[in-house]
Amino acid sequence: MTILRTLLLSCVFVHCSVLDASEEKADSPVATVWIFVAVDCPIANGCAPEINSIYDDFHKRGIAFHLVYPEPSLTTEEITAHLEDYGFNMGFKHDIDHDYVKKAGVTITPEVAVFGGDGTLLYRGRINNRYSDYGDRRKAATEHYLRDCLGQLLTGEPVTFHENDAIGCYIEALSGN
Amino acid sequence: MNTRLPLVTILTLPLFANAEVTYHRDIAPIIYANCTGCHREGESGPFPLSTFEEVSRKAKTVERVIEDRYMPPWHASIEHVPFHDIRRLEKEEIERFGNWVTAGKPEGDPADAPPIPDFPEGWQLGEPDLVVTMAKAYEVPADGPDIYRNFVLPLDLPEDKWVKAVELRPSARSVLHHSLLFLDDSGTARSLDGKDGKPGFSGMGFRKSGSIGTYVPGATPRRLPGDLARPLPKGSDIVLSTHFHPSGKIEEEQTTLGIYFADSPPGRKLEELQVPPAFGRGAGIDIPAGESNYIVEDSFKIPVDYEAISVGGHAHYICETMLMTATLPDGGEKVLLEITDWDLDWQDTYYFAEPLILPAGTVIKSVITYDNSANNPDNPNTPPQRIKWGRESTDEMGSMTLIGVPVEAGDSRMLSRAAKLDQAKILAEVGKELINSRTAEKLPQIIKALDRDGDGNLHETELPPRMKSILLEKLDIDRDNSLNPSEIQTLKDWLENRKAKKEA
Repeated sequence: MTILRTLLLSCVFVHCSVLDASEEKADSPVATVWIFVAVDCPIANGCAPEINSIYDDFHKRGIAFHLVYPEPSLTTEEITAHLEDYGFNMGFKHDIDHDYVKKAGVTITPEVAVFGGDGTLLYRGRINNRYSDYGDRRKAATEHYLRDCLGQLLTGEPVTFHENDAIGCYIEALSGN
Repeated sequence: MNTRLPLVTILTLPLFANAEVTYHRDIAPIIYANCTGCHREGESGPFPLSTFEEVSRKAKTVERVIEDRYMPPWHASIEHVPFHDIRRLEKEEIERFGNWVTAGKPEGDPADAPPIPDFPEGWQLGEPDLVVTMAKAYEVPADGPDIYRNFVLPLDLPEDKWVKAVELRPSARSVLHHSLLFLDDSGTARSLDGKDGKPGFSGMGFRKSGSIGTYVPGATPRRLPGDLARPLPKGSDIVLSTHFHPSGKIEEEQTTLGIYFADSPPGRKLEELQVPPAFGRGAGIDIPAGESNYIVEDSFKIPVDYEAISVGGHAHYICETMLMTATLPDGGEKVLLEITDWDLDWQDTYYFAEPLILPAGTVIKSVITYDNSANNPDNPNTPPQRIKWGRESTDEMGSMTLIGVPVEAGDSRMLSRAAKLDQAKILAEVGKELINSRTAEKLPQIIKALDRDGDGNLHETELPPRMKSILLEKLDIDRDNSLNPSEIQTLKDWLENRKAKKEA
């Protein structure tokens, strides 16, 4: 856990842009969650309290979390201010080259990807169903896809790959791609 | 044929090259005209959209929300009577934007771009005549359901004023969704303010004595046409009935309101025609769980020539569509407002591009539909539950409102009287509540006991607190904050008729 914490903390302050496939294996033997966010997406920001709540509930139980910022033009100051504004305590990756975006196959913020201890992609999609479309926000979510997936992983229930369409702001392809 | 091919190629090549969609030439005009007004520093849009870089960074998101017609926010059909300040893209513009994204977002030549419009910073209509700010900021939590909260702005005006326009400047634009600007001349709202330890108060526990407008992000502040103005009587407080969306982080809202006064009282009095009246209070709204097409209908015959200047609607979450039509005395029909995808979040007032003359005898009709099924993602209840009329946002309301003036100033009284009589329909609903309670049996004695000064009137201070707002709202036709003998008689008559019918 000490190594894990050091790794996570180092990513809070160190500019991480290169994806090392072995890195997420080292993150957690159980599962690693990448949460793709943007500093200015109202839906991603609206999910911040639930992201923090899921982190609080699961990181102590051996699951690693990273926020991933796919917008290449962001400055470290902008990311740091965003982490502070929304009370994020987990490490972040600034995915300048979209290595994380490609590996996870995500297109939206907020969107999450859950990798098992062996690096297998187990879930990709929305955090929950609070937002059903632009402007359609339930009072409270009735389906909790990310929580359910992590819960199953911890209790050893079989998790087969599952995905759904996220709702939010599109991740722009890098120019030249 | 072979000999002609090169000529065709030569002729079409430059045209084809010009056909490439570029940001500066083809996209910037759409963005400036429809997006930048709100999507710029200090305004309500969550990110700026004014330069090639900014638009390019959000291109796919913009493409999707304009295709869905979620943006720009505009919910009225535009095929009918023309409106002012329409924020709706042409189909061709949406396709053009999509083509630009597909082509890889080419920038083009900056020299091709139109000049960026001169968007005024701060007050859109210039320096207001009066600026008032909430005394204390209200803290909006990071998460949780939407919040409806009223904030009182005491004015203590020494004389009656007339309002041409209002402009609202929120301090936390990401959470403030809309504000309805009501008046309270009774001091009730002031007395409720801060009672729960936080600025403002929840619920509609005060009687609205007027309204000076609404604020929805994206709507263009507009002065009333001609010499028209809304009354702001001395002694009135403004109540900002505000809807918040938590944004993911704690925000503090301290609204500032700018008011623009008219120099003199208007020649004609604005008359609001609400169909059904009282936000649907008497329309018997009672929507069974699972009902996917519940319909509320009502109509009103305008007794005098009427000049309509704006139209709007009010309902809550599960409303789906609204339609207001006018059937003219010659049989012709006009659609005044059609909303096919009602969204509580974007309640707007739509101003007709030209005042619309509706001759005496015109019948205006509202048809409002609701979907209380599980298939409606806006349904606040999972699973669906029976929803009745009520003041909470999870209850329902339903009405459409035409605002205008009688063509002849002298017709004001007649029009006002007809609208009030229409409102009296709601007595049926109130009476039903009373007759079903023990209060109904004892009504005459109760009235006698309440009339402490024995003058035959029930003043506001004599009314029981629990019933005060509803009794005044429904029965106080002359709006003097007391029930005179004729107003009390209206209720007595109705109850007696009802009793007689029951016994028969």
